[in-house]
This record gives sequence, C-alpha cells and structure tokens, in this order.
Amino acid sequence: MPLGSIVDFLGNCPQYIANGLANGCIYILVAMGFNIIFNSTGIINFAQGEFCMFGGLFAFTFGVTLGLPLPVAIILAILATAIIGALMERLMIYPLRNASVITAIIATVGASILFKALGRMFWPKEAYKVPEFSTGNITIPGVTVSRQFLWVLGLTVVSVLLVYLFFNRTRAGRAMRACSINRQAASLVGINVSRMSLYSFLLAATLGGIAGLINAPYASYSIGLFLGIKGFTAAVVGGLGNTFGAVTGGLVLGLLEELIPGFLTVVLGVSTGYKDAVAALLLVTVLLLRPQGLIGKGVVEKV
Amino acid sequence: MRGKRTLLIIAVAAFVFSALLALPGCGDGETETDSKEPIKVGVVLSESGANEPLGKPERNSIELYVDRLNDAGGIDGHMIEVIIKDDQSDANKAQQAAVELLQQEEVVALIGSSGTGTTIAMKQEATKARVPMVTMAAGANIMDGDFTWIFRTPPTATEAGKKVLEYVSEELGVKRIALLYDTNAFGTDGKAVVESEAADYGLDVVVSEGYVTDESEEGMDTHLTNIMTADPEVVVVWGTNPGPAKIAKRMRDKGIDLPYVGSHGIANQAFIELAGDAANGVVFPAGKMLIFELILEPGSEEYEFIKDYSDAYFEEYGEHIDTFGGHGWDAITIIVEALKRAGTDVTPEELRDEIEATEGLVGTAGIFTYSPTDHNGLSPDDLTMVEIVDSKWEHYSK
Repeated sequence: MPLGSIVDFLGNCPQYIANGLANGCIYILVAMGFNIIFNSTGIINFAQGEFCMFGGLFAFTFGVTLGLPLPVAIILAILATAIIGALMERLMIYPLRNASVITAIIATVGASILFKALGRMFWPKEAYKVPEFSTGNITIPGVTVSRQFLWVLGLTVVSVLLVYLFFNRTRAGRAMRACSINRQAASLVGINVSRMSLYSFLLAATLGGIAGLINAPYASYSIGLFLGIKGFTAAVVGGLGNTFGAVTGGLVLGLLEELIPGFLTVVLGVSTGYKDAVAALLLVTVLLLRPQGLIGKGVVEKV
Repeated sequence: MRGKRTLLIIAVAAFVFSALLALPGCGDGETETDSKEPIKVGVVLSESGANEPLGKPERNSIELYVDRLNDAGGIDGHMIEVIIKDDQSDANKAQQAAVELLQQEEVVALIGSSGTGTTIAMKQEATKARVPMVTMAAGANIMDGDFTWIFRTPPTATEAGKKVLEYVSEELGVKRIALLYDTNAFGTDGKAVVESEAADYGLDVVVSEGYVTDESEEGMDTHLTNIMTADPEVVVVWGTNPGPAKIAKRMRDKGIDLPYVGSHGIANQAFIELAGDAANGVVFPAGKMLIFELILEPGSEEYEFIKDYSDAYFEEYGEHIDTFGGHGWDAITIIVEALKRAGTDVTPEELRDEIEATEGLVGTAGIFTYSPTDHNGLSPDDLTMVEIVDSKWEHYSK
C-alpha cells in the first residue's frame, strides 16, 4: 500500500511541479515588488499585495465592463496600477521622508487597508472573471496546464530580466541601489533621493499589477493579503533585496506548496486543508536557520 | 342647577380620562401624535465584504416586504420600521450594530446576519438583551449552546448534506465520494455532515481535502490531482464562490468527467457567471424557490407565495429572485406573522414565544415549523436537486 501510494505520488509530481511553477511565478513578481521598494527606501511595503488586487480588478473593468480589447485593457490596467503606486508614494511616503523607516512601514499598512477598502467599495463581489490571455489547454502525458501558463512563464522571465538589467546596468537602477545603502551619501553625490523613491513605487506597482493580471482569471478585492503574504515569504526566503533571491524564494515556495500537501494526501492519507501553513513554516524555518535568506549574502546593514 | 353642573364636570372629566387612556405612553410626557407608534425591527446585513452577494438581495427583499406591508396599512395600523445596518461581513461590526439597535433603537426583534460568523457575534447580544433574532445564515455552530433567542431561515448543512448523499446514493448509484471543501465555516460544516452521515446512505468518503477559496486555478488543480489518486466516482464540492467555480473549470480543463455535486453555497447566478461553460452539468441542492415554476403546482400555497415574491421583486428591482433574497423575505415574514398573532403591543419575550410557535408557515425556502428543540424549521424535503443546463437552472431528473 505505501509503495503503491508513493508510485501514485511520483506519477502526480509533474502536475504538482507545473502548478507550483505557475504559482511560483506570481510569487516571484510580488517578491520583486517588495525587493525594489526595500532596496531603494528600506521600506517593507505591506500594500504590495493590493497592487496585485488592482491589476486584476482594473483588467476586469477595462476588459469586461468597458469592453475594451484585451491587450488595451491589460496595458491600461498595468498603467492604472502604476499610477496608484506613484500616488501612494507622493501622498504617503514622500511626506514621511524625514521620519523613521518604521513610520513609513506603518504607513504602508494603512495604505493596504485603504486599498482593500477601495477595492471592496468599487468591486464588491466575491470574484470577477477576467478574460484569459489565451484559452485552451496544453496536455502532455501526466500534465495538463492552461495556455495562460505560457504567458505566466514568459511574462515572469521577461520581468525578472528587465528588473535585473535595470538595477545592474542602468544609471537610474544603480542610483536606486545607492539610495538604499546610504541615503545621505547618495544625495551628496547628486542623486535625487525622493525621485528614486517615486520610481521604486512606480516599478513595484507595475510588477504587482502584472502579477495580479496573470493571477487572474479570477480577480477579487480579497486577494491582496493572500498574495502579499506569499510574496513577502518568497522575498524573505530568497533573501530580502536580492532579485535572484526573489526567484529562488518564489519557486521554492510555489513548489513546496503543491508537493507537501500532495505528499500528505496521497502517501500518508492525511489532508490537512491547510496549504497556507507551508508558507508560514517555510518562513519560520528560514528565519531560524538562515536569516539572510537562501541566497542572501549577509545581514542587511541597518541598525 | 348645582346637580347639572356637577354632571357636566363629571362628563368632561370622563372624556379627558378616556382620551388620555387611549394615548400610548400616557402620562410619561411624550408628545402626542395622531398615527400609531411604529414597530421597530433591527436588521444587520453584510452589504459589503465577502458576503456582499448575500446582503444585497436580502436588503432588497426586506425593504420591499415592509414597504408593501406599510402601504397596506401595516399591522393594525402600526407601521413596521426596519433599521438596516451594514456589518461589512465583519463579526466585530455585526456585534456593534446589534448593540446599537438593541440599546438605542430598542427594537422588538433582530434580523441578521448574512454570514455565520457575523450571526454568532450578534447572537451573544440578542441573548443578553433577551430579544428574538432570526438569522439568514446556515452555519451549524450558530445553534451550539443556548439557542433560545435564535431562529433560522435557510436550510443548513444538515438538510443539504443529507439531500446530497441521498442524491448520490439513489440517483447516481455510486459509492466512492471525493470531497473538496472550503476551509471556511461553510465548508467545514458541510464536511462534518457529509463525512458523518455518508455511512447511513451506504457511501464511502474515500478522500476529503480542504482548499482556500482565494487559491489560484493551479492550486485547485493540485487538489483535484490529489483526490483523483483515490479513484473516486463522484466529486462533492462544498464551498461558496469563487472556489467551486475554479474547481468546476479546472475539472473541465483536465477532462475529469466525474459527476460534480455542489452545495447550496453555489445556488446563485454568480456561480454560473464565474464558471462559464464548466457550470453545465453541475448538480446542487437548493430550496424549491429557484425553479418553483417547474416543480410546484400553480395554485398551491407554496407556489403562490413564491410567485407573489418573485413578481413583486422583479417589478421593483428588475432582477430575478435568488436564494439569499428569499432568506430575507422569509425572516421578515416569520417576524411579521408572529406579530400579527401576538398583537402589536407585544414584548420581545412574548414575541420569541410566538415565533417558536410558528407551525406550517409557508416561506420561500420551504415550510417552517419551529419547536423548543428545533429552531431550524426546515427538513431535507424542503430541498430539491437542481442541475445547470445551458447556463440555466433546471429541476434534476434522470
């Protein structure tokens, strides 16, 4: 019996891995949003999950309510989310530029609550169906994935590469990293610190919007907390602030979330129904054993 | 002369006294008004938040019922005044709203709320204040502990679960059930009933797995992959939207052609909208109201009651009735009928006793009979199995 069930489990593994990859990609994008803001301002943005919420819900409004063609709706949804990110920075974070980082972090908690309330006000239903980028399935023996899956993978790879190049190859990206290491010194060498903070929110909201879009077809105002926690876990597990850490963390979390419950149900015959516990356990384990994250280089130089 | 004068004084005094006696609240310095005092009923609904799809039709229904009643002269000339508060699907806000209604408005009865958690929060307050409360939520644990003051209108997991098991064993004629349930209160109630009652129907729950409704389609795919390993013959999904819609869609995508039996949690248009094509073929238990024209005899009391509600609702709001609006309609009906029987100067305690004496009252969800031991009021026979065919509800038949 156990042997047979292990064979069953192994047979299911390709499907678990495909599902884990799809979810992992979304976690990666959310985690990168956390990283970008953390890198240039030192702030953990608790409203990152709500950017995803806006991405999906705006796509519904533009694509279904207003009936715009899907590519136009998607671009508008990402732009609208980016604008919300920029507004958040100008109205909430910029006025706190001389306050402590903790104050700004608490402000982002407020933003998260505000965004969720706005989402609930304008999109009150429990879920909205957003059109898929492409419909249909791809089936190879043992695995069935939707065609949307290819978009998820492709958009994630492109986003990760662009973000990496931006931070390591462009002047603005390097300037943003400099701000994180030492704001005052960055300002002294001529970097406009407040503009870099604005850019980081703009970029993080854009990535959040993309994550929310590809997490669709079902968008809802409640998704923010769900994705926010997963993305934060992925960022910390990989190493806060590190782009490839986000990739590692997102993939590890995505895969374990499918493999562990699969193993429990199929091999041990216990279905806990608490898949979310995987993220919490992973977070605690990594913080205890390797607080700098799986591929983080060292302790962050903050007092 | 003198005798005549005395007689006049006595006559005037008698007239004044009788006039004073007829006034309500006589002698405590209230302003006198011509119309009779309204009877206040407090309502707490989830008009936003997770249970918004429930709260909105419930509000529409209660307001429509009361408007029609008041236009027709109220109860013996007393208008019914409903004071509606939104709890935003939040238990703390529901509790606060209940306290406000009980203390500031001094309502004679409470209706609420849409969800189980919010109802339980209100229950404490209603019980403390000794005011009867009619809930529109189906959670089994609402009736845990002291349920003296709480009555219920929707069918619960118990009736629905038994109906589903009866359908699986008698209509589908299969044995091996795979159960997918939402890990929220609604889903775990269903899980408890299905797992504990299955044996009585000769069925076997071979695997059961919990999911979170916000999970992605890929997450649902994993749950389906897991349960398919146990080689089930039917998939029972117990949850509220959007989870069951994601599962239906994913089952269709994966080409799993096992029967999909849902719960009464998907007895709404939202499920069909969210699941699209994949909703077709799904069978679920629901009150007869959804398809009353197909299964009830025109002219029967149940048919006419639902027809009247359906027509009035459509005329007022331009929308079709749904189950949740029906629960609201039933809740206010039960209270108003009890008020009619008990008289309008009833105390909350007397009203509670009168609600408990409700017997054979026709509502949209079925025929309500409460007793000191049963405050649920319905039986599995009040439910029927509904199948989705071409994105429309139809009475299930072989």
